[in-house]
Amino acid sequence: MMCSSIKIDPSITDVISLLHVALSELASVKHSLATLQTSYDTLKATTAHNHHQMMQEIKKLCNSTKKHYTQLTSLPKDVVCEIMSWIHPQEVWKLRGLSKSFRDLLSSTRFAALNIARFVPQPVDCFQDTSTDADQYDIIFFGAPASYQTEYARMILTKYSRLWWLQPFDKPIPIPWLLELRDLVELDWMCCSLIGPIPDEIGRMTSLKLLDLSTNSLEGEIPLAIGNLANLTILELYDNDGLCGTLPAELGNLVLLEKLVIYGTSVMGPIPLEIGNLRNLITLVLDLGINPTCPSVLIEELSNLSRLTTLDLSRCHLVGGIPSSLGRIRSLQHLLLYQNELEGPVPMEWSTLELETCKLNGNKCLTYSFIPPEGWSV
Amino acid sequence: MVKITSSDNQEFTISKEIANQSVLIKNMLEDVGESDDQPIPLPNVSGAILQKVIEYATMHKDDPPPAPEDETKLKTSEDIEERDKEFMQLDQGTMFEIILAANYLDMKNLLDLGCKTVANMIKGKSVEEVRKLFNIVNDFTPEEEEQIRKENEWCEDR
Repeated sequence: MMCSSIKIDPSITDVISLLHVALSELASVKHSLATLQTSYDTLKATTAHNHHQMMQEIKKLCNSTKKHYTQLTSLPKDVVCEIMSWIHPQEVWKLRGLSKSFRDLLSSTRFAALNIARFVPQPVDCFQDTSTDADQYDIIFFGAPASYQTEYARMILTKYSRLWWLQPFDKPIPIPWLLELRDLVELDWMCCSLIGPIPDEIGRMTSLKLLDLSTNSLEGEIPLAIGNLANLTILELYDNDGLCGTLPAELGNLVLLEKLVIYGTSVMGPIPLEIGNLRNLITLVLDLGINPTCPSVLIEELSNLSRLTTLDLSRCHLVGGIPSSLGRIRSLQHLLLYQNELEGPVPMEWSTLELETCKLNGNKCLTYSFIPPEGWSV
Repeated sequence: MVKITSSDNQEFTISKEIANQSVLIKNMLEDVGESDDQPIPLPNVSGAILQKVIEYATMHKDDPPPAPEDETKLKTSEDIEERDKEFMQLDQGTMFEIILAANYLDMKNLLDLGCKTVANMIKGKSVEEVRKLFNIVNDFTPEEEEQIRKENEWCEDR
């Protein structure tokens, strides 16, 4: 009744239908939004998953790089030494230039020992005890850096008691060898083109019986430490132009010395009194430069050298007289005092010796109380 | 048979003659005795590298022991068997890993092979070339470099 009584304005009917349309539109928008939300959620989840996966991959990659890409530089030092030891010493030495760690590794004696063991055969020959000439390895390591010199001496040269070499090295005497070869008995490096000084370390080779460094280009003074070589019986340093200074008194410590030969050098006198201690001397050959502050004289003490067969003090700038006590040396066979400035009487006893050689010529004013035997140069 | 496990827990079962090529494993086996069938852990070697090491040991299991005169004879890095050369055709990383493993496992022949191979890669190359090949960084001052250059005189004697 109520409804029928209400008269609906036609304009309101329009509005209602419009509202219906709007409502349905709204529902559709709502639906779209929901769909969008779902899509968004899905997308978000996927992205997160992808991101996670990607991070995992990166991590794995990082790990594998760290784990599997081991480099030469990350190996332990011992292993790097092993690797480098297979390269020839003179090539591998250059690789010290790679970096500081390589420099330190390759300069060590530990590495030198490993490297030498790979390249140098142990000496085997019938003269086990004597190296009769330098072989290719001796030549390489003569001029080597100190670490190699030390190890070469320890590993190879200590096998010998005698080094008799004749090789033009054109190098200084390797100091590490002198330090290592404490048991060497004979060192004969005559005519080896040695340069530089005779190192003080020579005094450490206390087992030496023979030391011959003649006919080289050595220079500087004869080291005082040479007096430590208490077992020396032969010392020859002749023909080394550059050797200078005075004859060291320490030579007098070498009481077992049988042969002392120093000529053709720039070494000056005087003749030290201590030479008189060398009672085992058989051969004494000196020629000494003039010492402006202390002239050389024939010392009385020479008369102690009762085993002497050769006394050659020619060209020693000797001044003064000949001590008559020198006449007591009965073993003399070769007596050479020429080209000095000696004066005064010649010992009478010399006329009774059976001298094979006697040269007294070229002196200042020697007088004879006897007729000089035939064959003497006076 | 002997069981060994790698750092990443891979287990390998190998014959005794192969296992004994590693002085480390040989000593371990002697220490623990025959009866123990617990796997020997090798925490310093990955499965992939252990695989290669076993491959090498298998290849050499029938090698005769070295003659006494060969022991004293000097060997050079050029003395490498053809099959070993092929075996060592690897990337640097794997090669160094194998060297490390051989060092750890105390396998002299494999260690020597690895070291010789790397030495042969270095031989004949300049310092600069070796730096490039192995990513070595030059950390010298110019003065230090000059000093080293001076000390190289010995190398020119060759």
